[in-house]
Amino acid sequence: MKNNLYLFIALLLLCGGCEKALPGFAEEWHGVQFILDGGYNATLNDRVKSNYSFYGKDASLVQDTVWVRVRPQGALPQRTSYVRFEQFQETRWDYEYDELGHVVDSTLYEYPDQAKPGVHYVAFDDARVAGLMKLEEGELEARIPVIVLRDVSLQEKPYTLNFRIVDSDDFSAGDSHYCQAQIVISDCLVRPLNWSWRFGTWSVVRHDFMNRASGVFWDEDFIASVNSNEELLSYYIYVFRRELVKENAARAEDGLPPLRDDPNDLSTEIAFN
Amino acid sequence: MKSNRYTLLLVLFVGLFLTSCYDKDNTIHRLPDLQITNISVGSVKTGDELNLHPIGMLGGEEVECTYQWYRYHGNEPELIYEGQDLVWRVDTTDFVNIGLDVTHVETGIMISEVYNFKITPRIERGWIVLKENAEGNTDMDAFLMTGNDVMELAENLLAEPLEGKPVALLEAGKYYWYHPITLVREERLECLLPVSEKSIGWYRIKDEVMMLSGDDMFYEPSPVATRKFEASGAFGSTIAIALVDNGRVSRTLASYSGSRFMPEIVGNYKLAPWLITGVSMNLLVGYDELTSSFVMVGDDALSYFPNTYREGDDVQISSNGMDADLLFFGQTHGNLDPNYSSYPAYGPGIGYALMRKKGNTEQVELYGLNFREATSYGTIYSPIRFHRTIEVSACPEFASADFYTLHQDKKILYFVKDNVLHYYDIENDRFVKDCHVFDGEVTFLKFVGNNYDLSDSWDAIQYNYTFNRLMAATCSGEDYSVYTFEENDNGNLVLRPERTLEGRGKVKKMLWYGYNPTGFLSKLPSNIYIYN
Repeated sequence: MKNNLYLFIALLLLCGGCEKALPGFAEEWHGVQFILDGGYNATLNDRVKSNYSFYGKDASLVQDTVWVRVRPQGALPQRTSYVRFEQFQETRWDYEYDELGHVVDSTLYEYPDQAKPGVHYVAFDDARVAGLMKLEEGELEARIPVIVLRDVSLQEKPYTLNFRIVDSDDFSAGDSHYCQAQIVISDCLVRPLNWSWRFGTWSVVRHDFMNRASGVFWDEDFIASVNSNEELLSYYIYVFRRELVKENAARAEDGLPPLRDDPNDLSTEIAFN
Repeated sequence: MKSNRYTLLLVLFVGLFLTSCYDKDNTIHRLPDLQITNISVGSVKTGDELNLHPIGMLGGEEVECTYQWYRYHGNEPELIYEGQDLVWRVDTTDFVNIGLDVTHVETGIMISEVYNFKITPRIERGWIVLKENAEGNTDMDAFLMTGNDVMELAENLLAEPLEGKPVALLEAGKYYWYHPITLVREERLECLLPVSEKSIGWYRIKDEVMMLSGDDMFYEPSPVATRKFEASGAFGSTIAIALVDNGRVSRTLASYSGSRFMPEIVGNYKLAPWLITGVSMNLLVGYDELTSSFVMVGDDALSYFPNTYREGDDVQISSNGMDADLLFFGQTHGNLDPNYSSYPAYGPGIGYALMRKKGNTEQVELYGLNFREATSYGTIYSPIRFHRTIEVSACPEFASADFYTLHQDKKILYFVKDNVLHYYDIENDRFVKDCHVFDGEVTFLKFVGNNYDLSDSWDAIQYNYTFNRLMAATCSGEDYSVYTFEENDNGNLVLRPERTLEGRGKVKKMLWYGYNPTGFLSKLPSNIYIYN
């Protein structure tokens, strides 16, 4: 009888011990990751992407803010919790294969024109932004600022800022598929991410012409508003055709050839269909 | 035995006891259901009043009830009235659901019903009249057909008349637009498009509401001060509409059936105030006064017919550089091309242009254009397949008439000069003069070959309202009269006084509107050229 009692108590303790050994995931693990745009299916190569251009903006604007959205994973923050970003250099392996398909050589390719902290953006550990990279208690979503800087080098070409979420004192990096982001910073025309085939092949010359002909800066926001309205899109195509005729006529009077996507390539004469 | 007796006595006493409890005046009866009577669902016209007088009935007897009326917005009821009799003006289109809660006052028993009422357009069939009102602006009347040869006048349809004198009246059957508040795209709207010198409106027929008008109809509106709309045209089953403003033409895009006009077509041209529907889906034919040439109005450019002629054709005349002024340009059914004799007589196949060579006051020229040559798929030959020079002395009124109109099937050109009706028989090259003398000033003349207002073979409703009529409107003082001529068995025009329509204002255009119950195969848009 006594043995049975001991056995029963032991079983109870064992059960209690098992319970103790399974910590509440949602209560103790604090992760954070980016929010991808709606309809964006996460794959290994997905990342939050955006373009920011100082092009066409007032010369007095020397810095601006790009907001990225983050969301906590696991338990909600119980206090003000800080996120940490880290820039990384984007690289790619190029492989050489033999006739049997075996890798015989490989080269690490590092993408050029990576953004430089303090030149093209405010470093993530800079006091100006470090204190803003946070989620308040109970927040389900927060906007984190990335401050981009207007450097003269951006007038020549765009620079790319690749960064990711890394573990901080308060958060672990969440799902790795959702922890990378890319901002292309420029002070010149760059191809908008939602460029429509209706505009033709993107080129600086064409994009610049569209801006001048319409009096509107064709950035991603404006293109999104036009792409959703077929008639409005047709109107702008109509305007481009009309203004292109005028511009080419004026250029002809000056002895210049018609507008081309690549001024040195005769086959790239600009047209809107 | 004694025991049985006691048992029987016990049963008896119990029976007596229960019987004493029975009170026939206090029996619990099952109440009959509460019913609502005297309401029948059906259809109601746009803007009309719903008059409903329900009666709450209990066991076949009318009983005192309270009544609460609801109008449903989707699944959401809105209380619109508390009381037995509902008088509610229909404020929507297509259908409306009206809910009714009836509560028996004495017992609190309640019943709820929802009634579905179909809303049919008030404008179903009849004449739409574009007119100049007393203030010199543009309004519309409708003569609604309420029975055989019975017309009821609905006056001044526009809540805000369009600025300026009337110019044209079109119909669009497949238009869409983005609602300015909800931004929802509404499609396949059947609309009338009244045009004045200064404005154009987009008037939805089913609820008689102006959806869009004035500058909102244009991406790049011209300055109102100098604006002067002169003509309009529709084509491709009115999926596109063009407008001539001071000789410059703008159009909506056929590809999207949009609601707003694109900017004017560029180029050095000045169109005469006539636009004719080509056979092709996307082309109208007009006349450029600067180059004295017929032109095709495409999506965003004008194009000219080639100066090439088909071998063996009798008539080989260029439609370019004609050195002539256009007096009239109209179209009719048929085909001027003997090589396409199998091409159906029906359809806008022929355009007739009455012209005067510059500086020539002795003669006028009548050209027949074959519209098969006006296609967006490639134009090979000059469209002119008929030509005749007519001496002005043969009929001086012909060269200076106030109005012209072509018979829809026969090659007859009617015209009015100084309120007198004449016609020219093109086939037989003869004038028939003084057919009719009108009282008052003639303001409109049009032969209406209505061959479309009949049910299709797959239509459940069988009807036929086709006719051939010459319509002429006059104005005396502030009133107008519209006279109807019909052809008798000999093919001669006969005035039908019983069909005369009367209203106030000055008639500029008319069209016969036939409600299309299928809602899809809109027949009027396909035939809009008949009125233009």
